[in-house]
Amino acid sequence: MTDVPRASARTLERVRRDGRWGGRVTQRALPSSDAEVADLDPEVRARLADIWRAQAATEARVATSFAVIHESLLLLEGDPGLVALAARAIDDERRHAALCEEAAGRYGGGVCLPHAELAPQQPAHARARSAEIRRALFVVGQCALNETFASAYLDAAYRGARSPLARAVLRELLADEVDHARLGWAYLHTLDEELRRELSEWLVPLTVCNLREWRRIDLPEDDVLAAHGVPPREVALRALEEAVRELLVPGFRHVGLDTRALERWVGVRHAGCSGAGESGTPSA
Amino acid sequence: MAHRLLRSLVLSSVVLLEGAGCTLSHRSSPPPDPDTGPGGDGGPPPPEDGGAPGRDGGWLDDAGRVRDAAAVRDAWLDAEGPTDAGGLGFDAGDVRLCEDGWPPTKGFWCVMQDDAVLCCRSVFLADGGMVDEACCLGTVEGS
Repeated sequence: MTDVPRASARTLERVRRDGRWGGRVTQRALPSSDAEVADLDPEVRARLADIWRAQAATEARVATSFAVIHESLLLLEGDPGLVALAARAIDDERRHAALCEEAAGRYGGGVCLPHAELAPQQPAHARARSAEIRRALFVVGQCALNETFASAYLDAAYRGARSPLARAVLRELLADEVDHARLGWAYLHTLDEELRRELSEWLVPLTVCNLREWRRIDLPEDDVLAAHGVPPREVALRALEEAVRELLVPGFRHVGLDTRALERWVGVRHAGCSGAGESGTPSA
Repeated sequence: MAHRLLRSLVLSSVVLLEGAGCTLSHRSSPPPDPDTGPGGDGGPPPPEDGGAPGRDGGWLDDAGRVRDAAAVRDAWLDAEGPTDAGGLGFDAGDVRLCEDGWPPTKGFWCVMQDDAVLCCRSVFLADGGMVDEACCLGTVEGS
């Protein structure tokens, strides 16, 4: 039976009772997975359990990232809707940790042990010209970039997943990550020209540094695992590259940032913008 | 061709704003002109705590270590971007390219296997320690 929670008690206790789904981990109940899991090779099950538990740890770490974002938005006197969403995102990531542990427990055939506690990590942006710009960079870097990459990654994982359990888990994760990314894009809509100019000068470093973190992800090339929500590395990297070209560049351009340097870096040809002639380099 | 997530992520994001549909302004800008939208020419903000330059043209990272130009070059190559930056506003020697990024939400680093022992990559723990294996051992209770 899968009615009993398979996430650890410690992780479940961190989910707020007044959170997005009123203390529940998911919006919709996860499908029964006993039969599909029982059919799997025990080694595959163990590996999937370990992978999902590892993801629980990284999801939980991002809760601390969003605590930084929430504080930054408060200090920036950001739009109240965005401040509220940033606060919710802290709990969202804790729910994600519980959800990933739930998946791990189901694959592993027991209650998942609590995930590892990873140390928080964030960029320093020591070269930012003011504390205000630094806070803006935090919001843009974590939300418009990191969560956009996360959404692109999950979208790719979902497309390759065949397992009803994995698809349900990925759908729940993606629904939240999309909101978290939108937080960053919405914030960019609220900025004045001066701050947009400042942020434009940071697009390449922000993208390079964040993409580097994502490229460190170690993923197995295994079709069986892909069916259970673990995309092959090649697929994930392609999704991330696509995200840079087709989400970040047009997205930043849409909100009024100067993307010419970023476009040159990614080798994307663009036309129709001021000074575009020189920026249109051959595709890499 | 537009990415299938472009509309969801970017174009529709304004609905999150409390003043959705209205022109909004960042606090450092003058009140928005209803005709022209947000803007203002307040000039660049004064530096408050801008940067922590290190010696020899490097800069200090979070741990106070000096990173030099070679490290910057490595970071650039690591990012697999062009090494000839050209004159379009970025520089391959830009120290900002060596910063840590925000950690991904998806981290399947726990997939190394050595004699049936699953090992994590070097992962820093909240208590300051570092694990190579402990976090991945025994996924479920009783295993």
